[in-house]
Formats: sequence, structure tokens, C-alpha cells
Amino acid sequence: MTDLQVFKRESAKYVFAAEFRGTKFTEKFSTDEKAPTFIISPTGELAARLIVIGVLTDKERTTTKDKTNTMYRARVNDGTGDFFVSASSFQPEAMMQLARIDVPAIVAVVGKPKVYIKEDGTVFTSLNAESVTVVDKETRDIWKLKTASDTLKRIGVIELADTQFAKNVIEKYHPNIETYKSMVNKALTRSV
Amino acid sequence: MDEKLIDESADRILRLFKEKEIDLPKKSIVADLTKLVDEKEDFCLPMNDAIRAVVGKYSRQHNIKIVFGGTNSGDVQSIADLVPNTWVNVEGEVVEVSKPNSKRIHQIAVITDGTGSIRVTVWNRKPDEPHVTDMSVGTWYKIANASVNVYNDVPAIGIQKNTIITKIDKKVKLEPTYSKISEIKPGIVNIRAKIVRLFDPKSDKVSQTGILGDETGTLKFVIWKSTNPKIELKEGKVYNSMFASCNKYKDMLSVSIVPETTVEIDMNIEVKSANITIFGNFVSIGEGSGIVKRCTVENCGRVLSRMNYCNLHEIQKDFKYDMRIKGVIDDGVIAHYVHVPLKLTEQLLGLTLEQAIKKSEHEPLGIESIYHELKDKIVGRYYYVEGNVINDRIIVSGIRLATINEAKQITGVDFKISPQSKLEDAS
Repeated sequence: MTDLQVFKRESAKYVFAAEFRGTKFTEKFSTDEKAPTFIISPTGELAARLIVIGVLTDKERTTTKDKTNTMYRARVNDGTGDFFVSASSFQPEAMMQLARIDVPAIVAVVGKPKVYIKEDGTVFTSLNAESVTVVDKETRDIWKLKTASDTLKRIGVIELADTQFAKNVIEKYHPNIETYKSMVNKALTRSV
Repeated sequence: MDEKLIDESADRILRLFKEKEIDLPKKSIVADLTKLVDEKEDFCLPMNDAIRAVVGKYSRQHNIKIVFGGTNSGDVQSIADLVPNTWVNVEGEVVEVSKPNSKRIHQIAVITDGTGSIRVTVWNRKPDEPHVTDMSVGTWYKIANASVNVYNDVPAIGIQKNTIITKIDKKVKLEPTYSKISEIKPGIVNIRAKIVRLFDPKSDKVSQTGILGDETGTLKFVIWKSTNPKIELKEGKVYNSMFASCNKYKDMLSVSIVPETTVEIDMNIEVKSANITIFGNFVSIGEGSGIVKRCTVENCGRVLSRMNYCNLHEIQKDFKYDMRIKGVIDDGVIAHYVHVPLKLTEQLLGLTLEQAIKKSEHEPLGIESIYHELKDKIVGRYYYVEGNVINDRIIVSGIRLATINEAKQITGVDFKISPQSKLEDAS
């Protein structure tokens, strides 16, 4: 029985870049130091982990603020916008993987979503990568379908507004539902 | 109804209450009993049940607790039909006796009557209390006035103060009934099943562990070292295993096999595989995936560390190669821990184990390079997976890349062609 998982791994959720960039709130459901922090997205996704599949358009090797460690910053575009992805020495695996990938490439990034509030009050989101791998177009399309479908389901819940959680999300964001519907539409529209 | 019996029973009740220093009017007790047992009345209860009812009535009135064993009429019941939290009488052959390492328990036995088997727990009694007969293997006993309790979902006969165990002279060759794997509940069971897969035992206390199955399903099994197993189960072979004990832990069932009562039989069973299907992203491949070296000591097979060190048998000169993936497939709701065995790992990698070993020989990282190659090939992609859930983990029995059409079906959405992009195409 030693192989039983002591903690439950949080599943990776699906959010488009345009929605992730609008994310402003986080929540912790436990006082435990190691408990995961969940982001609450404008359509009401609760996520402590995201999976993102898109085009790696830019990567940059840089140092952390205190200049003691190297890290990678990257942008991954999913058709609705860019995800800001970072991989520091806390995620050596993702750093090594990013180092090896040449821009541009279709990548799958699994990571932890973070919401930062800058000194001027602006909110900034990024994804701390745990893993970055090169994948193909078909995989990217499956991700788009899944993200579109999950987002539409969340929009449905927000429109109904019959749960306390939905009411809380609406109170927090006053989301313009049409914006998110057209975002999904845009993501599903092929430019080929 | 026999007036003498009613009178005796009333005296019995009076004595029970006298012990608690309560005097009851005999007249009303006789009246109560008569009402319950008399054939002219509506109830016609067996005497034991009537006594219990009357004891219950008065003990509630006086707010005391009096244990009166046995609501049943003394008829012997089939073990298969026992109902938890009732008083029972059973008759059967004791097939297993153990003295657990507990001061409170005198004996644990397994008794079987052909319809089923059940564990019997004999609690230690105080020196001034009457002792029950010690049970021994191969002998028939009648256990009267016992109760069926359920602990950790496992029913067991508990020996109460009033329980009587008597040796009986009965020798019947019992024909075992085997339970279908899908119908197994916690308790003592007979199993006829095929060993589907063996795992490395993770604990020194375990001799063998793995999955067994029949045409109805699969189940985890374990053979404890403490049972001194003289039999070694082999993958693909079918066994009859008697009096295995099925337990529930964290909502997962598993059976602990008794080696002495397990024999290989010459038959084949088509095991029903795959009790779970998922569509998800292979989001992580963990360390320990890829090529591993296993200890070659008999019955061991543990994965050796880099220095060829086995946790149990220390440094090993010999080893056997194996290849597997331990990872996470995420369907967006649950992150499923998965274990992909050799054959399917070869399929995903596109190389056989031998080819992979050969390839890794030219790599600076050696066999570890295969771990990274698996990551590059697999992580981030969508798969259809079939498998069996064992201990919160899916043992994968089938895996293939998911297609875009399947994703369309599952998600219920599809791509659209925008008029604008058509325009662009035209120009």
C-alpha cells in the first residue's frame, strides 16, 4: 500500500489565452502551506494547473530578479492571444526542454497558473511551466476543441447563474459573456 | 405452548434482572411471554426471540443494559445467508485457525459450510468467565448464539458471552462454491481466477502481489510473507484459491490469498479486461519510467537503483531489463496515475526493449536517454486509454493516439470555415 498517492494531483484545466489574460483572482481552499492556489477565470474555471497547446513564438533566456538564477520566458499563442510562460530553476525539467526547442514550434505546456499584481495595480498572469514538449497540429486542434467545449460549458453555467459559485464569479468579474463567446468562435474559425 | 417452558423462561429472565438488583413481578413476565409465544395469539414467536423481546422491554423500562444472546430459534443457518448484526447459529468445518498478535483476541478461525465461509473472532474472556472450546483445523463445530458483525466492511462472527461452541461429529466432503470476481464482497471467498499480472512487491512483508481476474472482472491480490508461501503464482496460470480474505481499503477491494489452499488448475479463463476507458492528455511521465533493471533473485523482481542495488537483496551482479511508463493522463477532470507495461511501452516508443537498449548504448545518458525520448514522444499528446484501476492507479491494457474526429465527438464542437479566410484564399 506504499504506492498510494498521499496527495491528489490537480487536473489540468482548459482556458484560452484571451480569458487567462483577463484572470484577476485566486483562491486557496486550505490553510495548509502546500495547498494549491487556484485561479478563478472570468468564465469561472477553477484551476491549479493548466494545459496549453499553441505556437511557441518567442523564447528568451534571462535571469531572475535577484540575478542569481537563469530562467526562460516564452510566449505561446493559441489563436486568441499569448500565454506568458516561464520556467525557472524550480522547474529544471521545463527549462531544459524549452532550451532545446527552436522557435517557432507547436508546444504543449503543462504548468501552474499564477496571477501577479504589479506595484501600479495592474494584474499580470503567467504560467509556470512544469513540462514543455513539441507536439503536432492535430494535438493542437484537439486542445482547441476541448478548450472551446469547456469554455462554452462554463459560459452556460455563468448565464444560468443559479449556483453560488456562478454568482460569485459574476460579482467578481461582471463578465461580458458575448466577448467570451466570440473568443471561442474566433478560436474555432480556421484560417486555412 | 408448554407452560413449564414459559415458567422456566420467566425464571431465566428474573435471574437476569436479579443480577442487576431489579426484582420483576413474575406474573407479568409470564403474561408477556405467553402473549408472544402462545399459538392462540397472533405472534407465535420462538421462545428465544420472545425472551429477548421481554428482556428488551424491561431493561428499557429500568434503563439498564442486559445482553441476552440469540434472537434466533436455534436453527442452523447457511453461512452464505448470514445477515450482519443478527444473532446466528452456524455449523461447519474450521479450515483455518490463527492466533493473532493481540492480547484481546484468543483465536481467529475461518469456518465453512459449503455455502460460504466466514471469519470467526474469539475474544479473550476474563478468567472468571467460562471459556469456549478451542477450535482446530479440519474439525466440525456448531457455533450457537453468536452475532455477525461487520468491521471494515468485512463480516465476521463474533463470539459473545453466551456463545457456545461445540465440536460435532460430522464429516462431509464440502464442494466449494467459487465467487465471480465482479461479485466479490469483503469477507472470506473462494476464487477461481487467472493471474493477469504480477507486480514488484513494494514491501518486505509481501511475497507476491498483482492482479487476478476471471470472465467477470479483475481484482488486486496479495500473498503475505507471513503465510510462508510454498507456492509461486505465475502470470497466465489459473488457480483455485480457497478461503481468500477480501478486504476494502480506500474503496478498493483486494484479496489476500492463502497459499496452502491455492492450487494451479489446468484450464484457461478469458479474463474480462479494461474496466475504465479514458480520453486524456498524457501530461506527465515520471521518473522510473523507461528502461529499468530488475533484481533477478527468485520472487523479487524489484527495480534496482543505479548502483544495481536491490532494496532487499543489496548489490546485484545480475539483472533483468524491463521497460515501462509511470505517468499521468489527465482528462480535464481527474489526473489519472497510469502504469504502461512493457508491450505497450514498446508500441508507444516504436522500439522493442532490445532495440531500445541497443540504441541507448550510444547515448551519453545511457538507458536514461529512453526516459527522455518517451517524454518527447508522448507528453502533451491525447490518448485513448483502456485499463484497470488498481490502488488509485490505472494499469493500462490498451493505449493509442486519439484522433481529431474522436475529439469532435467527445467535445461536441467543430471548427468553422470563416468567409473571411475563404476570401483571403481566393485572393
